[in-house]
Amino acid sequence: MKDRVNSKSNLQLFQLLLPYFKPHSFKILIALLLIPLSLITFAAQPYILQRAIDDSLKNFNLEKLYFYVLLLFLAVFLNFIVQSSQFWLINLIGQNSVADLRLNLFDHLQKLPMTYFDKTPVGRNVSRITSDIEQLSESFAGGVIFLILDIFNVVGILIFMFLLNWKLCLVITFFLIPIVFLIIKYQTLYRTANLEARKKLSEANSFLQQNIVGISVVHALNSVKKSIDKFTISNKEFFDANDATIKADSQLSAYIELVSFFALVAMIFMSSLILKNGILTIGTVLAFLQYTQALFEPIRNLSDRFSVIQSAFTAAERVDQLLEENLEKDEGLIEGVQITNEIFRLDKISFRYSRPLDLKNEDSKEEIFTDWVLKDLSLVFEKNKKYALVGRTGCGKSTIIKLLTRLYEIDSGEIFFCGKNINRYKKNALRSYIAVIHQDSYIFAGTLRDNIKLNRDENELDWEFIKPLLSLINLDLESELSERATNISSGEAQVINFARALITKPEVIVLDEATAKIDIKTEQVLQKFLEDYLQTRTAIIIAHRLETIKNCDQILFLRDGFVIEKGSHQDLLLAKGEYFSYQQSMSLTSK
Amino acid sequence: MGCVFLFLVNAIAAYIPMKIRDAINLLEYKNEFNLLNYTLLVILLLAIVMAIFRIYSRQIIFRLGRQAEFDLKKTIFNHLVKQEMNYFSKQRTGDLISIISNDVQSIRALAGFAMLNILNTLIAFAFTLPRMFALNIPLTWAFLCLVPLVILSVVVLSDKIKFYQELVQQKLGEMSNFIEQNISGMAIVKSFAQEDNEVNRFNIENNSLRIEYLKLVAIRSVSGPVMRSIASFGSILVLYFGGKGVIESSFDLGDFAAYTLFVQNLIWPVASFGWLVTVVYRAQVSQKRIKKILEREPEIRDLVGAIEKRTFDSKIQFNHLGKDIKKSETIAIVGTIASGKSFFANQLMRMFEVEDNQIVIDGICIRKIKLDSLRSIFTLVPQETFLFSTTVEENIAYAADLSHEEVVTLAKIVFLDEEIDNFPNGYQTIVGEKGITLSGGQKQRISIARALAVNPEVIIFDDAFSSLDNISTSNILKNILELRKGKTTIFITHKIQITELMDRIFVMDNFSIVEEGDYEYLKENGTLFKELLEAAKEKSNEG
Repeated sequence: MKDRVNSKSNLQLFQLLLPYFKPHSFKILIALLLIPLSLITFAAQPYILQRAIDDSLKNFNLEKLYFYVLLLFLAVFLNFIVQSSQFWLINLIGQNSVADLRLNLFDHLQKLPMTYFDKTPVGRNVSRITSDIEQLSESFAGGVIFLILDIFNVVGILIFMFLLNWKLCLVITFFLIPIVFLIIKYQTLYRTANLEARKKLSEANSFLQQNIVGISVVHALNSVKKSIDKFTISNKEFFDANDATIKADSQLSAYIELVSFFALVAMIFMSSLILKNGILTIGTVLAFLQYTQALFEPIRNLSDRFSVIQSAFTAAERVDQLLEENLEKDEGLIEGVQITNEIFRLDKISFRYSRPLDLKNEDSKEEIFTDWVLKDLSLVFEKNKKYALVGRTGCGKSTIIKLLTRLYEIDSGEIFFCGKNINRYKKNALRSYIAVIHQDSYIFAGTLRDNIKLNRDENELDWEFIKPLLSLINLDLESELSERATNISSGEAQVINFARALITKPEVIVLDEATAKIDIKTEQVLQKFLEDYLQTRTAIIIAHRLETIKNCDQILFLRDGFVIEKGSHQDLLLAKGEYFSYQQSMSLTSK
Repeated sequence: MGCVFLFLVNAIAAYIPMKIRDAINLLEYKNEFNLLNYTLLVILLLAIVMAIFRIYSRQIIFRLGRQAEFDLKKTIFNHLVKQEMNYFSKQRTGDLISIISNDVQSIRALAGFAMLNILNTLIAFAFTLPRMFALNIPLTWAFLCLVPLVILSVVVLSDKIKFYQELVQQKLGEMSNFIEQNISGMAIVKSFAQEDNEVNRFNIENNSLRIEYLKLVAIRSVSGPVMRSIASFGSILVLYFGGKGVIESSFDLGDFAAYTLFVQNLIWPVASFGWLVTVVYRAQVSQKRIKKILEREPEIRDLVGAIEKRTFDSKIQFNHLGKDIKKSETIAIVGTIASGKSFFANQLMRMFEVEDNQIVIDGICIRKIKLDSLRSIFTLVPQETFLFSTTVEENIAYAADLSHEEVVTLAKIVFLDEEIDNFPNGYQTIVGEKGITLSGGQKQRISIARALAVNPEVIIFDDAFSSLDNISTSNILKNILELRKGKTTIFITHKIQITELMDRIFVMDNFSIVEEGDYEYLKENGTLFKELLEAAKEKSNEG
């Protein structure tokens, strides 16, 4: 990623965010217009004070004093109103843009190919959409916006000071130089020290976490004492690392205070020189006292702001990286399918998976490929027949299924669905004709009806048809299911998978270990139901249970990506080949 | 010491404005040039001295907070690791870690920053207030009226902010869950063309998060300007009352300037006082949680009069099972699922509590032996393999101090040395969450080596070969038996075939030993044993 930071300028990253700000241009304009207003109401306060002193106090005019007090009050009040609304506006724009960005990011994520999800740990995607975006919004508001406001403030105050008395203004400006140096020096010190301290803390915390999770090992190996010693060391390292941060922090604040006193003294000294000539007034000196204070405040914040901005860029960079991931290919246009006698034809297809070289390293872009899972495989699936894909783990049977619905793209060869290359179909159309029933279930919070209906059109669904399936689970359509299906059994979740897939009466059915978690009794009912339905449909089945595959028209026995035996269950058993010995070993275990 | 410095700092801080007043008054008298310069020099010197004291006072007090943090963490950890395993199964790891990091942190905030602030504020007031009263009485009262207002507004604002922050965090957590589930089920989402539907569902989450966020930032937007206005309010008071004083000639312009500085000196400590209220409140809550941990006595601990015993001489009797194990025997324990094999193994080292005289070693009930010494006799290889996220070498040598050569020897015994040589950094390769991911079999072999390294009188392997195939298992087993000659080794296992190598086999069912004997005997005369043997044979054919 470091390379990419260089390749992308910060300006380009602003361009990433720009589209999200566009809908809020009017609000942004108002926020900008409020800047001079907030500046004037703030910077005018010491000026009013100066006027009050020189105009009313010197002349002992009580009425004028009341007037200035009122004026000052008004300035404070207005400043409060203007600033609050300004901050509120900025945050409003920020949060709304960020929400849009988050939605867009999630939308993008949905359209990425499976290969992306294979190489990206789930946690990383989650943090892109949650913590990175959060960081982006926090640091954008806290960094960029406030930096701009701070700069305006400094400039505004300097202008007021300059107008009031340019000589004093120069004196004060001179003292800004050591302040900036101090800040750069000590905050760098502080940040380095703090980084080290945080590293030590996370080491200590990780040790802690491991010793709690692995407490059984700690006790079983009688190493409680050893753990305590190690933790004490780690804890002490953290304590020591903190010393440097404490030092840098204490020195910085003390030195800044010191310099501001120097500035004050220099100002009074200068005043005495100027006063001699009778130009300067006491009011001006007092106003300057306040200006100096107000001036140092944003400068102190300056380097904090920069580090915050840096983290905004880091976050933006990461988000951008996700947005730049190539979308799943979906170039096909055909939406309707005319069922032909040859449902699928696989023509010399080859496929292998790609994996990132180093999963732990986020920045690593290097990929490695597995060995060929399928190599020049040709196969035909005919209409209204039932096929079983059989073979040991890793033989490529699940991969074939994934390729049929284009969850993965083949590396070479062609796949035809009803006579047309599958790439010519719109993906959603293709997938709606091929119902895949997986072993895993995906249940979301909502009613059972919602979970079966998904977002499909009601007139595509045949609720009457799946009634026998629903009778297998103890739920009515309106019962609420919880996220991750925590309130139903995994068997019930699999039945829901069936109902969900079959309710549209799809043309092609693919079962991928779909009954693995279902008890025998339920499975029998399910088998009966499927048998009836599959009379006039095409099915491709992966299963371990013999009962499930015995009745298929054709069994394809795979090894290392090749179909090495083909035929009906009886034929293959008689042939006494690989399928035969496979079945033998299976029957032993299921006894 | 820190207090003394702090005292000095505030004394000077209260004195400097008086000098500045003098200086400003001197400005009026245009001839007192030398006196003015002298005053300014004094101010500078005072400022330097103050800066030095300030550095030290802050350092001392902040370090105090860190020291408290260090001690507290140490105490909690020491207490925690002595709790019995049952305790941990009832606690969520995240909660415990949160107590040790977050709660200790809030105590530290009290001990460090808050201490500094309380002292600072009190001392500052003690020094400054008399001077302020001396300068102008009504103005000082007016200022004092402002104080509770400041504290109140800080308390209210920070309380609200914290409240909404927690809501936002909660929403973020829900959203993370949502995304996590979405990604885990991506193949299904795509198969059913549910992408748009998922986006719609996400948008609901997204909107509710946005609403919480907007509430939070609304308060944050106000809180900054509120604090700033309150500070400005101080200036208004000074101008009004001070100005009146000047016009009535009870106050001069130097006083006016000094007073302005005083107010500035005090307004921030006052504001942070409000923040302090929150810190104290949080620290109290934290302290309660910490206390709860520290007050919990481990259920399994040394009884009064427990003795030291680190040797194993003749036999262990299990009176509740009516069996015993003699020194230097190798025993296999097999049985149905949930028949109490693991429970039994854990009881041996009092990981779970036993009753009096249930388990007796060399004639002494294990309850009468000090835990630390009892556990030095036994080493258990638990069912669930857990490796520490450190190097392979440190994992193997975790419980014993070994030289590199000894570690290699152990790796050879479990047939792992060649595989380790192929790791990116060999024996120095970090494993676990921060390093490479090992296969289940590799993990198990490391955890076996780790236990062998201790070389105790008795090792119990609790289903420690489950991820290894039969051939590797029997190879490793032969090495282990060779190494363990003369010592006692207990294997709890589902791989019935390997029991052929053991001296005796216990067959367990429903928390009792139902059959006993060597492999040949049980193969002929056992019933449950025969069933288990058959089932295991079938299983090995499959793989």
